[in-house]
Amino acid sequence: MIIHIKLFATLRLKLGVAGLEIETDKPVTIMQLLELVSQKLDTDIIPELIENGEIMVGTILLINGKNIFHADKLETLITEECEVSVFPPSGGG
Amino acid sequence: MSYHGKILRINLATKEIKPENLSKDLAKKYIGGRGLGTKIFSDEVDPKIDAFSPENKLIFATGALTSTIAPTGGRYMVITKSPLTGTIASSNSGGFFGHKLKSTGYDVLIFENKAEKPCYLYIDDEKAELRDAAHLWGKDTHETTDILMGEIGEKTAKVACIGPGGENLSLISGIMNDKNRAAGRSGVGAVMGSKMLKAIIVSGKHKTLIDDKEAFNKAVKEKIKILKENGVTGEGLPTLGTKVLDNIINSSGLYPTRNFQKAQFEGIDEISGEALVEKGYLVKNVACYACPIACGRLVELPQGKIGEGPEYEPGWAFGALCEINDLNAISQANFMCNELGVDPISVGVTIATAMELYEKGYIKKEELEKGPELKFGNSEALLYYTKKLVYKEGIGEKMALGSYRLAESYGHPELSMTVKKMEIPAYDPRGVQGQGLAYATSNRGGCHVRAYLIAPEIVGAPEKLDPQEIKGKPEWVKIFQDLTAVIDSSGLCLFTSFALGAPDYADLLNKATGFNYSVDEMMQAGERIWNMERLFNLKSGFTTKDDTLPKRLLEEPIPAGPNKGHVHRLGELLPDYYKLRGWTEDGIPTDEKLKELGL
Repeated sequence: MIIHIKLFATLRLKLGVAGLEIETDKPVTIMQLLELVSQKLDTDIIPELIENGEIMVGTILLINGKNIFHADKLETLITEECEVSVFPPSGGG
Repeated sequence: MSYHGKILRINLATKEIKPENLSKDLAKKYIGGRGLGTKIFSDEVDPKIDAFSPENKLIFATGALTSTIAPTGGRYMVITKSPLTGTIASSNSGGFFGHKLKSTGYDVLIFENKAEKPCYLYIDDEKAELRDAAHLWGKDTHETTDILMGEIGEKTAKVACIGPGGENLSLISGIMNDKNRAAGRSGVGAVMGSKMLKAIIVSGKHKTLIDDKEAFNKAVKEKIKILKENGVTGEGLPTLGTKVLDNIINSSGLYPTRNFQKAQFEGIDEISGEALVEKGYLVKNVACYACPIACGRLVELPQGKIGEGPEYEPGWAFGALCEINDLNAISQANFMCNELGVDPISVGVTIATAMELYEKGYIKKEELEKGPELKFGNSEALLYYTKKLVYKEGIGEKMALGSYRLAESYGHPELSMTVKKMEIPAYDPRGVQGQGLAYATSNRGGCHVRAYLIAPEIVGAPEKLDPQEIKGKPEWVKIFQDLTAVIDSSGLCLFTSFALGAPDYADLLNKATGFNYSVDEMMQAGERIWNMERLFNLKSGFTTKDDTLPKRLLEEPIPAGPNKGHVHRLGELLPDYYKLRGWTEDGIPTDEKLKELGL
């Protein structure tokens, strides 16, 4: 399956990458996906999003628009093609 | 205490200007800014008056921490009866004007009555004078500011003024200070226009006295450190400004599009906060007085036009809501609103309403008098109808009254996305149940900054709540409403609350004022302010029927995206909210509650 990843806010501006795809033949957790993304980008994006194993206040991780915080958090399993949106702590208006 | 203890009363008809003392007890009970201004206003003004009558007053109130070194401590509040909603209006602004207003030696200005001819008020270190403004009438807010600065010749002076929007009594006009900062909502600019008061220019060197300076300075350093280390206030907002939200809210499926007919916008990549940076429009960040966040944007468009914004709300109102993906046109419309002195949220929503009325055939082509078609996606419509609205030309005369009155004039008020006739901002309540309850119960109508539930429901600060869950939301809304009343009364920016909590605000307030509030006492002051505003609205004729949302948001499910199938569940939330507030089923504060709050 193909997972479409979209990067936003400071992460997108720092890396100069708006999106990428990860292809995998088995289900992955969001945490595993972030590790795969870091490998592909050759940059560890995890410290921008996670602190002491917890989702940082303000970090938003969405699978097809649904926040993983209300599923199994970082252990949320991806089993089919989807879009994952990644926002580091951002802000409001 | 961090007040000068002085109020200035200005009678615009008789030109009498009179200083009065501010009671310390009143300051403690109502904190300052929004609270203190509303207390004075409620005591002096009959809630049933017409907003444009001479009996309406216009109050400028600084907060307890305004003009101190507290982070973001530069804000002021305008309090009056709103001509748009008929509710109490309090409209808040940043920049440097609030700081300078307090540096004159006055905490609060009260304007009474109406001038016969255009005038402006000049205050220099307690010395105040009303001057003729005939030469300023008709000028935009930038020209007015430049002319006044030239006349006064004091480089540190600051100006708040109205543009043609306020002069022409557009119900969606604001008051602009420092050229691009706005007390934007509720039509406060039109009240100033009705009083023929074009501007206020302030200069002065009065320092705000701090009760325990050493302890206060230490507390300020601690709070700045918290703000700098927080991901939202230390990195997200400084880098991308409020427009960082475009993609967050769109991806989460609650980005109102096509006048709330949809909740996601296909053209987002062209207009988002990221696009503003990537297209090279962003020149630099702009900070208000004493602000370590600096979320403001100085922008230069490819044709060389320079201005501030667009912020998230105007960018959305002129963008997704009108289905326009032209960031240049959106930015120009925002600049125009700043220059002409109108509220870009309400203007954008009103144009989107007009587009739906036109596409459904209620507004006829002949009414456009050969102007651009009011079709969703037509970027030519933005500047054209913003100007028409300000100058009340053609269909602009109806649009100047805001979305509700426009839709009502065609027999279709249900197409207006407003609460208490004020235009709803950029979060679809069907995707955020708590925020929807906050809109429905806001004391000034459709407003997101009376309780910003997006922080917990979407951003996850201070903790993440499920946006579709309704359990517990009335409690969250009440706490946010009360705390926001405290922050507004302190003279700080609401954005600090992404990182700071109630104990931090009590700490700053106590060290500056010496009032020694417990956190509970401070929160009770917030609750007192909320109830006082509510009482004003009830006396002016509002009932529980007005605590509602547009039919579309209660009955028509979101058609696609992450929130597909959802409506707003107000009916399940409102009774619990009233109960929690200590109000009757009809939304009226009980005698016990009023006694408890000392009202």
